[in-house]
Amino acid sequence: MNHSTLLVAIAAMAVVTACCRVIPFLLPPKSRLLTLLSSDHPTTKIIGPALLVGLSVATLTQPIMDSTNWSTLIPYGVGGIITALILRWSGNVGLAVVVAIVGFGLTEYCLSLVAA
Amino acid sequence: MSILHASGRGLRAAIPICLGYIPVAITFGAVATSFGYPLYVPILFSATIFAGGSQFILLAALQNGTPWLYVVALCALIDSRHVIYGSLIRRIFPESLVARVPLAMSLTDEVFATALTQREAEPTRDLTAWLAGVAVAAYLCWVLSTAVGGAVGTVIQDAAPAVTKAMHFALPALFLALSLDNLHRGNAWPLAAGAIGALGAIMVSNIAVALFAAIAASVAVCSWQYRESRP
Repeated sequence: MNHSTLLVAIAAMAVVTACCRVIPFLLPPKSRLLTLLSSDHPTTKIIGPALLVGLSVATLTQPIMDSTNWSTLIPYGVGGIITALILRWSGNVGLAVVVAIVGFGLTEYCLSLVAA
Repeated sequence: MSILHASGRGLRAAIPICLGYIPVAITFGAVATSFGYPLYVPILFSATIFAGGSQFILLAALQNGTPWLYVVALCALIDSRHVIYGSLIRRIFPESLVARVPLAMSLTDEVFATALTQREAEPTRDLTAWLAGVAVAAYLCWVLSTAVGGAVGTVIQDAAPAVTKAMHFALPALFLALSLDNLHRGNAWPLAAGAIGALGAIMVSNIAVALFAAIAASVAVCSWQYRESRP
């Protein structure tokens, strides 16, 4: 691939990504799409939390499915439980994430010792 | 002083995002330079695109000779979820286009998820400052980590593989914590249905399909509950 094609490909991807992000902010406030997606009806209010749940499930399960070793499930399970417990105890998202990373890392380390 | 304080709170709110971005961006920079690209190429990717998934897909496509136009079109479909993101949190964004557009361009999955926690707040200057704090921290962290990865990524990964691996859990932990933070008795069943829908979809397809499955299942259960609750 030559240099100018590389730059054009990067620029095209940048424009596409930026357009997808900016379009809802450029639509008129009374556009049908915005009215539909930002109404107070319960079925539209659930969309945001549902997206978060979808992201959680996808990011938690993808590495487990990509792995050929089922022991991958253990650190992800432990990390998930720690996240939930610390969040319930402290109510602080940042603290829950940091403690979960430490728990995940320690579980991975213990598993590597057991395997060795 | 209040705006500075709000920006500072935004920077602090971005810490979990940055913890997740650092290993991914370092990996991206390291992979790009290992393909033989000069250091400015991964930095240009991260500075202009600022979307991990799209960047990795485009880099892989360029490397194995897949037509880049096809890949850009595919990523446009995947990125269409951002139209929903923007619509959901548009209310809390500033009115001025000059402030609104740069903030909108920083809306990654993680920045959106963090901004969603403020969706019921009033759109004040403090809230704009908070959003700007989150967005700037996430963007700078992504670009700088890419640069570090491009320069010394393989050295870091070889020296501390356990730390690098542990940091990969940051983004799943962030999404899980934000999901649980949004969970209450009223939306538990629709969100459980969304989780099952996403799980089924991710087993046979990709993350974009999983997100749409989560929305479809949650909305279906929610509308059923709504119909049942009406006299």
